[in-house]
Amino acid sequence: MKIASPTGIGLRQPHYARVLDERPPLGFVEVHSENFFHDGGAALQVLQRARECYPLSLHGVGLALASADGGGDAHVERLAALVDRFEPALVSEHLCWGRIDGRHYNDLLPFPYTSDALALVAGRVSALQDRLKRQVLLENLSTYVQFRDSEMSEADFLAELVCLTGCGLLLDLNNLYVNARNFGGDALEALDRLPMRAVGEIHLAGHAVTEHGLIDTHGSRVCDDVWALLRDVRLRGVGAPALIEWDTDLPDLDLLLAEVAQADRIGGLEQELDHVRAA
Amino acid sequence: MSALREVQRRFGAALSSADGEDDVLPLLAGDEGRNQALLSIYRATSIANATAALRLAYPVCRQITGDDYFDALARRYRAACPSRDGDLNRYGDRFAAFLDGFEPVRALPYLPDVARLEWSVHVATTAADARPAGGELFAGLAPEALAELRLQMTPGFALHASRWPVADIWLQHPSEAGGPHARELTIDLDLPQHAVVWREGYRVRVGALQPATHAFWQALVEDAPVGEAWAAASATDPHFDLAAAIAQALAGGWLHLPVTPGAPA
Repeated sequence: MKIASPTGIGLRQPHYARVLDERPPLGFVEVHSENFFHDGGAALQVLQRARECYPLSLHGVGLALASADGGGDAHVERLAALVDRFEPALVSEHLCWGRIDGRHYNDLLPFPYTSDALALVAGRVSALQDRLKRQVLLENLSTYVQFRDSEMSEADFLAELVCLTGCGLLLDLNNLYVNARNFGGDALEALDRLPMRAVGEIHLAGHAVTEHGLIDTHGSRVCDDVWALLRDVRLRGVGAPALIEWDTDLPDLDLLLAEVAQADRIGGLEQELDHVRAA
Repeated sequence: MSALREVQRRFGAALSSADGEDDVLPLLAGDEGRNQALLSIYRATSIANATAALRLAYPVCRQITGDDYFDALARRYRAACPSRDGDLNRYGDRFAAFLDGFEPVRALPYLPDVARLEWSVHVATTAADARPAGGELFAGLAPEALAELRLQMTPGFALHASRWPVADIWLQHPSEAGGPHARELTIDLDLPQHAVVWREGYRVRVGALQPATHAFWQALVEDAPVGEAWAAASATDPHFDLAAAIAQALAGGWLHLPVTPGAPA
């Protein structure tokens, strides 16, 4: 199933009851896959009910695809079981590492964008797609440091990855913005280098402004500059569904729904332009 | 791929301790002072993620120690027993064993056993759903057949034996939903206690067990037939009441499909 309707939200525990009772009009709901790696229990039951009301996106945070170490096989199998059971519309992971020498740091960690790393990640992504028998979306990361040994930009790395594996992109516009601000780059230039046709989902979130730069906290409203990036992406013809991602200092559901409405308004922009062109 | 491995080893070391930063900084582009601050943000995030997972699994331990002390314990635990899994729900399985050997918590000698009980509760929360067996399990069984019967417990069922009143301690601490798990109890800290954890629907329950009843279920969990388990229980307490123990198990939904001799498991 493809997601045809507009914006979704990250479904988090404090909102379970209201979302399931009131069923607000949402394009889809997204959850962190790992929070449902269970044999049974109440959380899976909630996901079952959510799946009956909305298309589902499974968003992974623990596969650590760029880890030099292997050892993620059990994780892949648990994800495969979840995908089999819930038949999600979208499955995604991050372009990051997190595991080395048997230890997991449980964070989305950056690495140098080299051809060696590209070969490693491409192999992992292909194996993952083969196992899940479906396309997986890879998300661009918010990073706070850059490596001297990087041979290419993250955008070029992702573009190559799409070519090598046929994976899709989860385009996180807040991450793109955070990186551009932190490293003095240009988010629009990054958009130019990314294959827009491969974008299968868009993430929108808020960040924190600190003395050391922007930190991707998912704890506030989407900022005006990121909304502007969404407009730009829509004008580039990207129709992929967007998601409001909010993880810390979770607000009332109504605020999330207001953000959804804003994304929908911008999502309708391209349609409006089509009407104007046709007239 | 060794270059990538080396980068990740060094980066990981800097997430474990600030001492590791010196080996990472030469790998990073840009201002060194700023990079150092940013590495500490990564380190803080990794610690915060692990701490949050431990808080979720051990709410009663956290209430006993207080928030600040618990967070300090979480840091020491992370240093001693780092996460090995991309799923943080599995992090914390070694917390009780860590507390066993951790000198500073000697003032709270019951804490390791409370942690053991909480881990069972945590595991039961996400255990497989099962429809418990009812009284038909025993219907029409001749005494010899009953003695030979092996029982399987529903997923999440766990037994604990402690020299501390762990069930009472768990029961008197408020659950996440607010309010105590059960009525206010007067806890006698000199009371050794046996405890049972089980799932009732989606809810995890904890109760105290008599030593003989514990011995009975412990034997069955270790795959002894009912006759042997009964003997073990009776050796602990000659007045052990088999019918009452079975009735409690049926009421709580502890029993799963029977595994009988000769039948496929």
